[in-house]
Amino acid sequence: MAQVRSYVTLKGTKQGLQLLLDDESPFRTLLEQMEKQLNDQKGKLISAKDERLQVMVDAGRRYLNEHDRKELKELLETTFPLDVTEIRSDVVSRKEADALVRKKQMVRMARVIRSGQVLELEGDVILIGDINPGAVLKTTGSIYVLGSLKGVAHAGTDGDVRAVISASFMDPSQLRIAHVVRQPPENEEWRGMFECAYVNDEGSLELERAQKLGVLRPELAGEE
Amino acid sequence: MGEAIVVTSGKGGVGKTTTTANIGTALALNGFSVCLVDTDIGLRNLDVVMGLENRIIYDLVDVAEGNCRLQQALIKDKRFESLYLLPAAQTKDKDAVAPEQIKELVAELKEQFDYILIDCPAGIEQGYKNAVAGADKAIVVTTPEISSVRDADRIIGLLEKETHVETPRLVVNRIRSHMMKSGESMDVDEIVSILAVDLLGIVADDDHVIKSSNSGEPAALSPKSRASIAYRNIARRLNGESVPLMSLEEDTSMLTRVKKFLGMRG
Ligand SMILES: Nc1ncnc2c1ncn2[C@@H]1O[C@H](COP(=O)(O)OP(=O)(O)OP(=O)(O)O)[C@@H](O)[C@H]1O
Ligand SMILES: [Mg+2]
Repeated sequence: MAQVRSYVTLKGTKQGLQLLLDDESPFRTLLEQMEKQLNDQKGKLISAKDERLQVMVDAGRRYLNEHDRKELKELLETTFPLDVTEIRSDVVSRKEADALVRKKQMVRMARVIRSGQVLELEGDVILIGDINPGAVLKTTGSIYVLGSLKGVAHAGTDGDVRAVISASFMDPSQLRIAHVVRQPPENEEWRGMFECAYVNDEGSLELERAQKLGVLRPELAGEE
Repeated sequence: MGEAIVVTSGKGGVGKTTTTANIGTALALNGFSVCLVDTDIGLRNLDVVMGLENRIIYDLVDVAEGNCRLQQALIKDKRFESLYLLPAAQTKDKDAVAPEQIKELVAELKEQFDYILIDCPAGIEQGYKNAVAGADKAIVVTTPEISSVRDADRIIGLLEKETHVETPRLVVNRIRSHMMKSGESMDVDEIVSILAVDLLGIVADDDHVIKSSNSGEPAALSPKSRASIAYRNIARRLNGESVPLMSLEEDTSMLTRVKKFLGMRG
């Protein structure tokens, strides 16, 4: 008797239940067979407390587009008492890979960003020059200004609260990290040399000496 | 082949027209052939400052529309053989000419003159685009006020995108040294540090400038006033001479003059 091909493997891990999916069959076949095989093991899909089980789906080396992901999630959640927390795949499209690279890149530029100019970038930015009053620099990563920051800097535009803003001369009209905004206090000097801004544990934007960055954001320290 | 220099500012009323008239006059005084071009269509006044208003027959729009030849529209200055004005139209709209037309016109003028100074209207719209179209160089005029410096910065940003225009140089106009000293107005160093461009000159706020504009005799004609000397120095720097920023451009005492000379701060 030929061995029955396993389209879905259930695996209990420390993080919870995992569904490993076959990555060689056509997607349609996979969905059909997965449903069938899961039905056969229904007993394993019931939690002790009668709650829905949280599962992480691993699609292996199969590429899943947005639509595929939605379909897979819906099938699992409507047919079985499961909550899909994540769908993982080893494969990304070239477009997604490019986007990932852009977010991880270090953009270097030497120029003055002038009043009325709004720059929207991806990745970390090293600006050799100034952000003038009335100018705006936004990026998904962190901002390092070798010069004066007098305008608006917005780091972590995709919501990354670990992003930081650092400047040789900090005299901004407004700073933003992710969704946290801070303006200089009225009637108070809020300027200094070699400062950095970060979001603290309470979720508010704070300024510190740039030398503290390595402690506040160990991931930036650069040494193992 | 001459060079075309646009005089611009972003903000209105900071002294573009006055600067154009005076630098042009100072260049003519030094023996150069100069043509002043007023691109402030609808609000012309370069002709008034030059005292040439009554001689206008044709204007820039007439040339662009082919109603006359370029030579017919050029008005010779009262004082200098080598100084001419191409006036703007008073009754038309800014859209009456396109950048491409100004570019052609300026190219034609460059065959004939050493310098073409283009007086730009305030703002960053059509009029600005027209004025910049034919320029090789740019002078940005600002006063020592935050709003004026902010607009100068905006204009420098736009000029940096015009690949045919060299990095602009700065004129800080209407300086009142007592206010600068007391910290009531921005000082020149601060302005230059924000705008990050080379300083071409500084001009004091001088009643003589207003009086001479009203009488149609540009201040640069008189050898006495501080502003006049400042304009003459700017003209020399435009021509490549290195003239230090000196006392007479500012109202400084003898002591600070000496300090400046020694490289100390006043
Ligand atoms: N250095 C100066 N000292 C005193 N008054 C000055 C000086 N420069 C310019 N002015 C005065 O300021 C006023 C505005 O100058 P001007 O017309 O040259 O500005 P503008 O930038 O051309 O204005 P617009 O944007 O309307 O074209 C005029 O009354 C002029 O006489
Ligand atoms: Mg004017």
